[in-house]
Amino acid sequence: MSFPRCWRTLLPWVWLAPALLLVFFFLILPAVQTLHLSLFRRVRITPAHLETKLQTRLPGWKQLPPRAAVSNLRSWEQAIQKLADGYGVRLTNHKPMGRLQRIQFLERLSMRLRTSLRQQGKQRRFVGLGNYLRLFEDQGMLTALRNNLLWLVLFTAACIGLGLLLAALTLRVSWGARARSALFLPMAISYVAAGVIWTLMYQKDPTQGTVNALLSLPVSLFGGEYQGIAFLGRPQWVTPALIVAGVWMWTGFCTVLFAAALNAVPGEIKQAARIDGAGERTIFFRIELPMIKPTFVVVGITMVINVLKVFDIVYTMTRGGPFGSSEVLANAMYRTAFVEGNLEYASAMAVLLLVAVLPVLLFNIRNLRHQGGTV
Amino acid sequence: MKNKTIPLLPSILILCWTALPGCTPADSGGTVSIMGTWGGNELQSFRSVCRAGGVRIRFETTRDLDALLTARSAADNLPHLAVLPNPAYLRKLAAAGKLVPLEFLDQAQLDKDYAPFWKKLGSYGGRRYGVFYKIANKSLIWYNPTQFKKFGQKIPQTWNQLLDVSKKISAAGGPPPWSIGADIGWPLSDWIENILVRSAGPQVYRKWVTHRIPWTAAEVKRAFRIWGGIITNRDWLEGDRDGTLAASFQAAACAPFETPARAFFHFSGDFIGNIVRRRIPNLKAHKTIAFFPFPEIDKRFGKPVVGGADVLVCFRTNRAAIKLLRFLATARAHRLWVKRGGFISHNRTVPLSAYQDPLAREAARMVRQAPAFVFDASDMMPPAVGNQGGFWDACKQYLQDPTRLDAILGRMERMAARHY
Repeated sequence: MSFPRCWRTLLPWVWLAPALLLVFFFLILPAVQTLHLSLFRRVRITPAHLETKLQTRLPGWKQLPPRAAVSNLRSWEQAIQKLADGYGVRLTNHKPMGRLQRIQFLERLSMRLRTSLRQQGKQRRFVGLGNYLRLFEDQGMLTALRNNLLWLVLFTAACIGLGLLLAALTLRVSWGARARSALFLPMAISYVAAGVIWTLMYQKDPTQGTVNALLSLPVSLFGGEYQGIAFLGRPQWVTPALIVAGVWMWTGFCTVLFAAALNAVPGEIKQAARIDGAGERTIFFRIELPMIKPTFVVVGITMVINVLKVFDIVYTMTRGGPFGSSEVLANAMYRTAFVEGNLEYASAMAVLLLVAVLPVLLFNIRNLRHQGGTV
Repeated sequence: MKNKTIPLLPSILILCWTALPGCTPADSGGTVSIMGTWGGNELQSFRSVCRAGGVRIRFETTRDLDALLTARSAADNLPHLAVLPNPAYLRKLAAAGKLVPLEFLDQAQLDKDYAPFWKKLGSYGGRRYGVFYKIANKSLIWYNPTQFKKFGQKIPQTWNQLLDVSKKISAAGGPPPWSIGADIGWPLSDWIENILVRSAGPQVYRKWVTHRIPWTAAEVKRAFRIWGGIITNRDWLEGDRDGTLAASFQAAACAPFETPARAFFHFSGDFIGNIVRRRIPNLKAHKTIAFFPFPEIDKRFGKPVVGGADVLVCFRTNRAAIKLLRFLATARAHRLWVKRGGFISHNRTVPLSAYQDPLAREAARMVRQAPAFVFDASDMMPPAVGNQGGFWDACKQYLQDPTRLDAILGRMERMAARHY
C-alpha cells in the first residue's frame, strides 16, 4: 500500500505543523502585534487636560456652580459634547452627576470619557513612527542604549577573551578539569542570587565588601587610610561594576565550551607542528584557534544575544540606578510596560531590541546552514 | 454498551460541577484574595486581624506590586482587594475604571471616625474607593540618646540648631552626624517634603503636589537649598555621597544604633523603629533608641507631620471582601493591630493609651497634635513624576551634584507638564 502522490508533498508539512503552529502563535504573532502596537499611542485624558479644554470653550465656567453645570444648562451640554467629539467618542452615559465639586466633576468626566473610548475601541491613536522618534529624544533611553553598547563590547570581549585564556591554560595543567568545574559553578546559581552576592561584594565598607577589602590591601601596606568606593553608588562606575558581575557568571560557560573544542583538536596535527619547530604560541594562534572557529562563532553569538537582553543583573543589583545611570534596554522596557503601564512605548523599545538582535540571528542562521551543508 | 455509559454520565456531570466555581466570575466563596507588599510581621499581624474579623484571606505578597497589578489587570485576573502603598496609584486605578466604589461602607460612621482629609485622599470623582489602614509618621529623626548625651547638646528644635549640632558632632572627629540610605529614592524625597512644608507652609505644599506651582518655583528651589545645608557637607554623611547612594535605607537606619556607632542621626518614618530593633535586639526605648520631631524651619508653620499610608482598594467584591472592608474601617480592627505594635491608627476613636510601645504612642500623638498633616508628596504625584525616574531621581542627582539644581528642577518641570 502506497500513499497517493499528493501525500508526498503534504506529509512534511503535517510533521512540521505542530512546530510551525507553536512558532506562529508564540513568536510571529506576538512580534507582529508588538510592531503594530508600537505605532500607536494611548489617548491621554486627565482632569487637568479637560479643565484647560473646557476653559477655552466656556470662559466663565469656573464661576458656575457644578450643580448648575450638570443640570440642564444647554451651553454645558454642548461644551461637553464638543469635548467628546474632539476625542471622537459619543458619551454613552448621560446620567447627571449630582452634587460634585469642580475637581470631582472633572475627574468623573474624565473617567466617563475614558470608559466611552474603551467601549468604542478608540483608546489608542495612530502615531506612525512617533514612539520611535521619542525613543531617540528620551535622555533615559539614550543612556540605556549607551549602556547596552558598553555591555556588548566589554562583556562579550571579556567573556570570550577570558574564557579562551582560561580554557587554554586549564588544558595544560593536571587539575584543569577541576578548575573548569569551579569556574562553571556560577552558572549553577540563579541570576538573582548572584546579583545579591555581588551587591554585598561591592559594599563600600572595606570590612564588609570583598572588592573594597581587596583594594584596601595595597593602600594599607603603605600605611594609608582607605575609605572604600561604593561602586553601585557612582554613576560612572556602576555599569562596569555590573559588567564584571556578568562576566563572572558567564566566563565559566565560555571556558567549558572552548576547552571542549580545543580538546577535540587532533593531537597529530599539533605533534606535526611541533616537529616542524612551532612554539606553543604559534600552535595556539595558527592551529588551534583556526580549528575551533565554529565554536568561537557560536559562543560569540550566544554572548551577544545574551548581552542584548541583559536584565536580571541590572534589575536585582541597581534597578537601573543611581538615577538611571545603569539602565539597559530590557530593564527600561520592563519598567515602561509593567510599572508605568505604557505598552505602546515599551513595544517600540522591544522592536528596537529585536532590530538590534536581528543581524546576529541572521548571521547565526546562515552560519548554521553553512555548517549543515558541509557536514 | 449501555452499561458502560451509565457511570460515564454522572462523572461528567460531577466534573462540570466541580469545574464551575472556577469559571464563574462572581464567586460567592468565603475567601478574599488580597495582594500587597506586606510580609513578615506586618502580614502576621494583618492575618490575625482578619481572623478576628472572621474572614478567611489568601494574601499574595509581592515586591513588584505595580508591575503585577498592571499585568493582572490586562489579563482580567485581579484579586478581590489590594493594599496599595500610595493614593496616587488608587487615583490611577480609579481613573481607569478598575476599582469598585465602596458604597457599601457606613459612610456616616466613617465621617465620624476619620478626618475629612482621608475621605478626600481616598476618593476620585467624588466617590470613595479606598479604606486607609495603617498610616506612617514620616517626620522623625532617630538617634541614640546614650551616644547623643556625650556631646552635651540639647535636642534641636529648629533647623539652625540642627545644623549647629551636626557641625559640632562633625568637628568632634568621631563618626559623621548623618546616615542616609538612598539606593531607593523615597528617603530623600521625604527630606524635601518635610523641608518644603515647614519652610513654605501646607498651602504651598498642596499646590506643589497638584502641580499648581511649577517645580522651578522659588519655594521648591529654596527647599532643595535648605536640604543642601546638610547634604552638601560631604563629611557629614556616613559613607560620603557614593556610599549614601548605594546604601539601603535599612542599613543606613541601623548606623546610629550599632556598636561602635557609624553615625548619629537617621531621618525616617516611625516604621523604621521596628526594622532597627529586629536587626539590633536589646535596644531600649528612650535609652538607646529614640526620635525627635523634624525641627521647625519657619515659626509660622511650626512642625507639621508628613505622613504616608497603606490603602485597601477593591477590584471585585464577594461577601467576604465586603465584610472585611467593613471590619477594617472599624476602630476595633485598628485597635487590634495597634496592640500588636508597628501600627499607627488615624481613627479618631482609638485612644493613645492603646499603644503598648512608648515610641509608637509618641509617633501617634505627634500625628494627632500636629498643626497640619500633609501626605507624602511623592506618593500623591503621578507615579512617573513622584517616584523612580522622577522626584526620587531628582533628589539623588542633587545629592550627587548640588550645582546642577536648576537643570534638575527644569527637567522635573518638563516631566510634570507631560504627566498631570
